[in-house]
Amino acid sequence: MTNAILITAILALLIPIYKACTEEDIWQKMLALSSVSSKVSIAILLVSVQRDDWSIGVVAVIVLSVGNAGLMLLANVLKRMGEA
Amino acid sequence: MTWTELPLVDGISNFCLVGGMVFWFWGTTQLLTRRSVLFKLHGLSVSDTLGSLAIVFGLLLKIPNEWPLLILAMICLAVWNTMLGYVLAYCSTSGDQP
Amino acid sequence: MNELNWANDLPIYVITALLPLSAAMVIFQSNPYHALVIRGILGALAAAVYAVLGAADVSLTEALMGTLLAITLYAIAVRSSLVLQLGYLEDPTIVTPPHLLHLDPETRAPDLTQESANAELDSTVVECLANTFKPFYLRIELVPYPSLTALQRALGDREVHAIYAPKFSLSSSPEDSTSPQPHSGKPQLITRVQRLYEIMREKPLSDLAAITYQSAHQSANLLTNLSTDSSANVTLTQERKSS
Repeated sequence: MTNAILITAILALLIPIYKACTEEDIWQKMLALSSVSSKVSIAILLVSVQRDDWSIGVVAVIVLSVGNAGLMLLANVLKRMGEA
Repeated sequence: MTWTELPLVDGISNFCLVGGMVFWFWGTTQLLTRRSVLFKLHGLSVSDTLGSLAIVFGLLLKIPNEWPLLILAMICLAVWNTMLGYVLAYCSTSGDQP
Repeated sequence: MNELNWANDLPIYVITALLPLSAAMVIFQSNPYHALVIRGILGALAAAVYAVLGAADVSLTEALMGTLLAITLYAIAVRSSLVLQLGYLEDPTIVTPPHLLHLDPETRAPDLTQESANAELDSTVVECLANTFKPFYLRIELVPYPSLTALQRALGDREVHAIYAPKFSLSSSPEDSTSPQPHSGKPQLITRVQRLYEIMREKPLSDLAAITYQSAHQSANLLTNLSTDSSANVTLTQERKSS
């Protein structure tokens, strides 16, 4: 069951990756990146639960919060770029 | 036989996992349409947060011995994804494209 | 048994296959900001691959250093390096130094009026510059200078990449009077970077202003000619000797 969910999660991951590749607007790209980031961390969490491995689960949670923080930083830097 | 092996709990867990997946696909397919950034952001943040919460909750019912990690993941998701949605919306409306 | 293992390992193969895919996407992006965003995707996928293969510590390092730190630092580096600094005169009414006026006594009165009109840095020129450099992802940063001498010195000292000056300043110098000047009424865009000159020579911008290439050494020479003040001359030659 977990394996099937994992495959489905990877399929869902392909959509924002494709969109980030084709999209020209920078904010649409950022949107796709945020989607990829949260989906990847949930996929890592699925793997950690599947294997009952604590350290991978910790990594998943850290990737979840750090990815979000990095996106916020990048968004602010890009916004300054647009103003200047 | 522990309580996680009860058919009801197993059914709820599977329902949560599949429901989360449906949420994900519903929100991600909005990315493919030609709508404004804010519209997509709304759909994406709602579906991503709720879908991920549902998936993590389903995992929590399935394997309860990793509960501190999963609850931490749920709190992180709820707080930071909401915050990220606000920050992205603020930055994308006031700034121009570089 | 073997088939069961293959089914179990399928997610690992798929995630690993995504890594070179996203790396190729980073390579084929020409806009540096877009490439940064794709780099974020690459970092997330790399962290996933390392985690799925069982290296939690490598995955954590990739997420913290490779993605968060690298992207933030690169964003700041790209922002501060992809910029064209354009010096201009803050107040165009004080543009003409009195000693330069004596060089050209007949056309003095019409020159003055024309000059104060076109020495001002209007928004059409800036817009045209921004459009010219848009395909090269360069930003335009405007740097004000109080006088013509300061403007020339800034170009000579490599403080700015290009200056926007009225026509008067260069044609009155003895060096340039020998060469014919086809764009008589236009303001001048003087750059010290050869590549910028080649880009700016294109059509829409060259209609608005006369584009001139001038190496930093040349413009230091020009400055000594421009300033009648002997003390300024001395300090300048000293500067050139020391550099």
